[in-house]
Amino acid sequence: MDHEESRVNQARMDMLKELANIGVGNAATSLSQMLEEARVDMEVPEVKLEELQEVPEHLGDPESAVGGVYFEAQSTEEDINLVCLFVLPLDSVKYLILKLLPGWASDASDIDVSADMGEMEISMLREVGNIVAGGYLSALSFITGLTFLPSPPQLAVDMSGAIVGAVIAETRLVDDKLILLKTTIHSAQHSIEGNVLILPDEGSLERIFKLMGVE
Amino acid sequence: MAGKTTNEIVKVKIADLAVKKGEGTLVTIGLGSCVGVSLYDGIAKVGGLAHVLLSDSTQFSNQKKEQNPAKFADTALPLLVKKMEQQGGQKSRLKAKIAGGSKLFGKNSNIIGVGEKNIQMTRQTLEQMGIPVLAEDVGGDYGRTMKVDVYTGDVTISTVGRGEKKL
Repeated sequence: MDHEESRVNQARMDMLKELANIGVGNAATSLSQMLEEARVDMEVPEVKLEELQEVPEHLGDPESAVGGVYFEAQSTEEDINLVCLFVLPLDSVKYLILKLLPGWASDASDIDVSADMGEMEISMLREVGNIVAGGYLSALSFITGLTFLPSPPQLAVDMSGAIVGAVIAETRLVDDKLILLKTTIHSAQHSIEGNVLILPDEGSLERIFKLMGVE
Repeated sequence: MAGKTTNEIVKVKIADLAVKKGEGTLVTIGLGSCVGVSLYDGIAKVGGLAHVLLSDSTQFSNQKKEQNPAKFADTALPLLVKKMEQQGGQKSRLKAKIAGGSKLFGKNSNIIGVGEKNIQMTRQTLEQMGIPVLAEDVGGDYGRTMKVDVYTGDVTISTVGRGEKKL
């Protein structure tokens, strides 16, 4: 790789990291308000060009049970789409239910989320998904100057590999290599953690870079 | 080979396929809307497993880049058969078992989902190749893990909270 090319790639990666940073920062702030907690921590975002086959591995053991909320965001002005997936381990889903639906259960072990969830729990998780979505969309608008509209968040509780695969298929993200932005957030007080994956399709990514003058 | 056991496990990732001869296990984890297709030649003891992401490659053929054939049912299955033939398998002896194609998201909507399309294309492609389907565990709204015993052709399906079953 020559010097010029690596400089450009570095600029692109830096821009994506910045996007992930602002997005997850917004999301962490909103979540800390929702949880009435002083701190929701986030880790340094990971930005990577990854083989499609390897994407599910980024969320830990693909057979482990998780809650997943995803939505697609679309620019109102330009042909730009991206997919945002928020994945929480089952324990975190239980803690969220305990915290946000007081009186629903006295202890996390009383909650069986793998059974069909009720309307309350589903709308609670959707709301959490909305908050994470809002954080990223405002970051994206801030960076690009465009307006983005999210699709209604979709929710499932199942194996993490099955969830990631279904999201990739539903959103037709079929490039052999995908750029993924991953950020981990956690709240120590409530043992809640989660991973946010942002997956833009290749064309959208190019248009974002062009808009930003990072070509 | 009495007394000899190998527990070698080959993992098949999403949009991927693998073939194994003799003994061992092929496994693919987390089939949601994706479909897992196991093919087995009981005489040559050759097993194959594909983890298909989408149904129809022709919908993406206008894209400038060449696509990985293991991604789509219509291209993955002929490729899997070819690889099995290279290991001594014979197309006329192959038997299929399929799993997956569920609807994890939007389970209450009536729209035909990606999973349903994957199942249909898988059945259709197998039929065109003259490969009978011995067993299916498809549809529903939950994910599956699929394990294939290459020696016996037995397929085991496991789930989150719905136990295990043999195909």
